[in-house]
Amino acid sequence: MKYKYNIQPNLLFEEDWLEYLNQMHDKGWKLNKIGILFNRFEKCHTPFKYQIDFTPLSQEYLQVTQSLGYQYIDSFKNTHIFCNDDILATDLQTDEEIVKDVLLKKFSIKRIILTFIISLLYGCLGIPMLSCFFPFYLGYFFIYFDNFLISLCLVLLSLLFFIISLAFFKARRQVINHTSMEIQSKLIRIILKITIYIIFGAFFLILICFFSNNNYIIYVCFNGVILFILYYMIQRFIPKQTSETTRKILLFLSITICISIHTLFNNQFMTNQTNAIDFQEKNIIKNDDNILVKKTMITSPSLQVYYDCYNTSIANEVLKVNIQCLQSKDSLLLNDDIDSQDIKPYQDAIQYYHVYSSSLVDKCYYTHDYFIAKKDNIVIRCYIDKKEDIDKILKEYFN
Amino acid sequence: MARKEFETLTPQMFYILLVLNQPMHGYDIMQKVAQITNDEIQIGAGTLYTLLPRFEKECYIKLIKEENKRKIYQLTPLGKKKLLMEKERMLKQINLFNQIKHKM
Repeated sequence: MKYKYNIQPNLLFEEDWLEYLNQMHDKGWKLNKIGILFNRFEKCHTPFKYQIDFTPLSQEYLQVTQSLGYQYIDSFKNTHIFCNDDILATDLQTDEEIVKDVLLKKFSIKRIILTFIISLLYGCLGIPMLSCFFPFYLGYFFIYFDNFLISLCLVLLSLLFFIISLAFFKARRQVINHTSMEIQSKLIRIILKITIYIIFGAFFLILICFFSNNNYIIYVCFNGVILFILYYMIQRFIPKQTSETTRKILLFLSITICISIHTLFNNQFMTNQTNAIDFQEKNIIKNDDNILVKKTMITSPSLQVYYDCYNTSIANEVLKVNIQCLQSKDSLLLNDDIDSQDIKPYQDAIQYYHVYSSSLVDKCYYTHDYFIAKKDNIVIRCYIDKKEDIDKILKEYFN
Repeated sequence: MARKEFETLTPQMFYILLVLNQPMHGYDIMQKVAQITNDEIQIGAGTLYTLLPRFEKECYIKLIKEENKRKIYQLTPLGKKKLLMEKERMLKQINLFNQIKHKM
C-alpha cells in the first residue's frame, strides 16, 4: 500500500477539515490515520464521500454506521471521520437543530472565556520575560538564548490561545445567526500554522539545550531544522506544475547552498576551536548552559565569568555585550551576570576600556578592576587587583 | 434567541418518538421512519444516536433491554404526552392557517 504523510494542518473547524480532506481526495489520497504532527493518506482513486461526525462512538453505533456503508477512519478531539463509497448514502447528521446544539456546546461562552484566560496567563508570563530582550543586543540574546526561547514560546502560546478564543467567538456568532460556518480565514490559518511550527521548533531547541552538551549534536540538529524548513518551503511554494526532476534539483541546490553557508559560518567549529578548560580545580558558583553559550562563574582565585560559545561570531557578540555592560564586581554577583538594563551603547562603553596586547588572545580590553578577553569561541571576564594579573590569568586559560 | 431544547420537535425528532410507540433499536427506527414516510424523511445515524440519549435523559423514552449489544427503547407516558402536545401545536397551526386561508 502506498502511503503519503501530510503535515497536520491543525484546523479548528469541521468545515476546514472537510475542505482539506476533499482537496487531498481530488489529488487521489484518502485519509488513513490522523497523527499529532502528520496525517497518513493512502492512494485511492475511487469516488467516496467523507462525513465528519461528533456522535459518541459506541459498538452499536459503529455497527449501524457500518451497515449503512460507512467506514470509520479516525478521530480527533471527540470528532470522528467516516467515509462511504456510496456518494448518495444518507448523511450521518440530518437534523440541523442537533448540529447547531452540538456546535453551541462546542463553542460555549465558558470555553471562550477559559481560552481567553489561558491566553492572558501565558501573556502575563511571557511578555515581561520577552521585554527584557528589548532593545535587542545580539550578545545578550545569545547568553540568554534558552530564556528567549521559553519567553517566545509563552508569548506565542498566548497569541495562539487568543486567536483560538476569537475564532470560537466568531464561530458561535455564526451558529447563533444561522449563517453558514465560514471557512477559517486564510490569515488565521497562516498565523496558526506559523505559531505552531515556531512553538514546536523552540520546544525542540529547548530539549536539545537540556539534553545535550555536545556541540556536534547541536550542529547536526541545527542543520536538521534548516533542512526540514527548506524541504517544507520547497514542497509548499514551488508551483505544482514544475516537473518532479526540477523540484528535486531545486531542493538539492538550496540544501547544498544552505549547508555551505552554515558550514562556512562555523568554520571555527570545523577546524581548531579553543578547547574548553577543565574546571575541576576551580570553585564554580554557577553553571548556566544553553545551546549557543555555556557560561561558568568561578570565584577563586578571583571572580571570573567564562563563556564557551558555539562559534566565533557568537563569541564576538558576547564580547561586545560584555564591553557594553560596565558592571562592578558586586552588581555582577547580585544581578546574575549581564542585566539588560545596564547595557550601554557600544561607542560610549568602549571609552572606559584600554586595549591590552597579548599574543595569547585575539582581543583583550581592561578597566581598573576587570578585563575581558576573547580567543576563538571563548570569552572570559575576570576581576583583577592590578593590571599585571591579566597576563597570569590569560596564561592559565589559553597557554 | 437560542431555542430551548425540545421546546418544539423537528420532524426527525417527531418521527423517532412516533415509531418508538413499539420497542425498537436504533437501526430499526431509521428503517421504520423511512418506510412510513415513503423515504421522505431520512434519519442519519449520527442524528439518531445523538437524540436517543437526550430523549432518555428527558424521560421521553426508556431503555427496555439490550440484545446483541443493541439497545432497545420504547416511548414513556411522558413521551406520549410530548407527542400529543406536538400534535395539538400542529393542529392549532393548521386551524389558524385554515381561518386565514378563508379570508385569502
